[in-house]
Amino acid sequence: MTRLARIGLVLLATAGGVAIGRATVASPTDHCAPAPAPVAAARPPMVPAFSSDALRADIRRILREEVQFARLPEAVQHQVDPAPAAPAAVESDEARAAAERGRRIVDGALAARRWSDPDVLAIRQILPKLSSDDRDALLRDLLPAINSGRVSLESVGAIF
Amino acid sequence: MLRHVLSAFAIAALFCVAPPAHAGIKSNLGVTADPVSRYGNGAVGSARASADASQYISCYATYASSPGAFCVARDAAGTTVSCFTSDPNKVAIVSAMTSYSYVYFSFDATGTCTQILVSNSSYYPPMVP
Repeated sequence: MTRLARIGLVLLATAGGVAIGRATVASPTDHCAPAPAPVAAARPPMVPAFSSDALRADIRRILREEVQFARLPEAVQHQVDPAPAAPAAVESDEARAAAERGRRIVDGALAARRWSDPDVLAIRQILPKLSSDDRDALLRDLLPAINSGRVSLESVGAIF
Repeated sequence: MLRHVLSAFAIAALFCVAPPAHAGIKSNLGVTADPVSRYGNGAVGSARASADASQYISCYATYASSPGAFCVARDAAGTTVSCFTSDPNKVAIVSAMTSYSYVYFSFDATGTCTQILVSNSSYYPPMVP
């Protein structure tokens, strides 16, 4: 092998080594790498040598925004990134009618000062049509009355 | 020989006429209904076997439009307390009741169950009949 060829081979091996080394450097977006510590430990990102100026600028901008966001109070963070609002529950006519019927049954029992088997049966029939809120509202009136003795529980066992 | 045979018969007879041993801890807990301290408790077997015709304790789980559970306790004097919950965790506790359970529940001013306890233990009597 000529001297020139040996020099060429050495240069080629050096270039290959450099290329492999750069290709295996962990990038900032490596999700397997440990998460960077927040603000206090923020360090300049390890940017590979082949990164362009635009990429560096992007990373700086993202970091700056994240640091500013992290400094905001939590309440403001929620305003900035609000959770999707749950659709408002619309009460059907059937549920509304059931709630009114339930109200009449409970009011009748409170006036009569007793909760008897016909009341149990009546409220049980409309129960599947009641919304949870309406059901709870009726029970919040009925149960304290039973517990305080204002309403006598004449039905044994299930009260609705 | 005859003496040995008679001795064996005597020992066997002693075992036959001896009353069966019912060892083990037993607990009878009739129903308490306390509207002031806001709780009710009792063992279902004790309530059923009670001499009075008043006391009982009951819990049940229901699902109409959402899960719910209700507990009621009435003591020998007729005092009744009750509570309701739509908390799925408490509803699950009610589902653990058996015919030899002890039940305790507490409630707030609105009648909402604040605690439900179900204990299935060897020392509580089973419901008979």
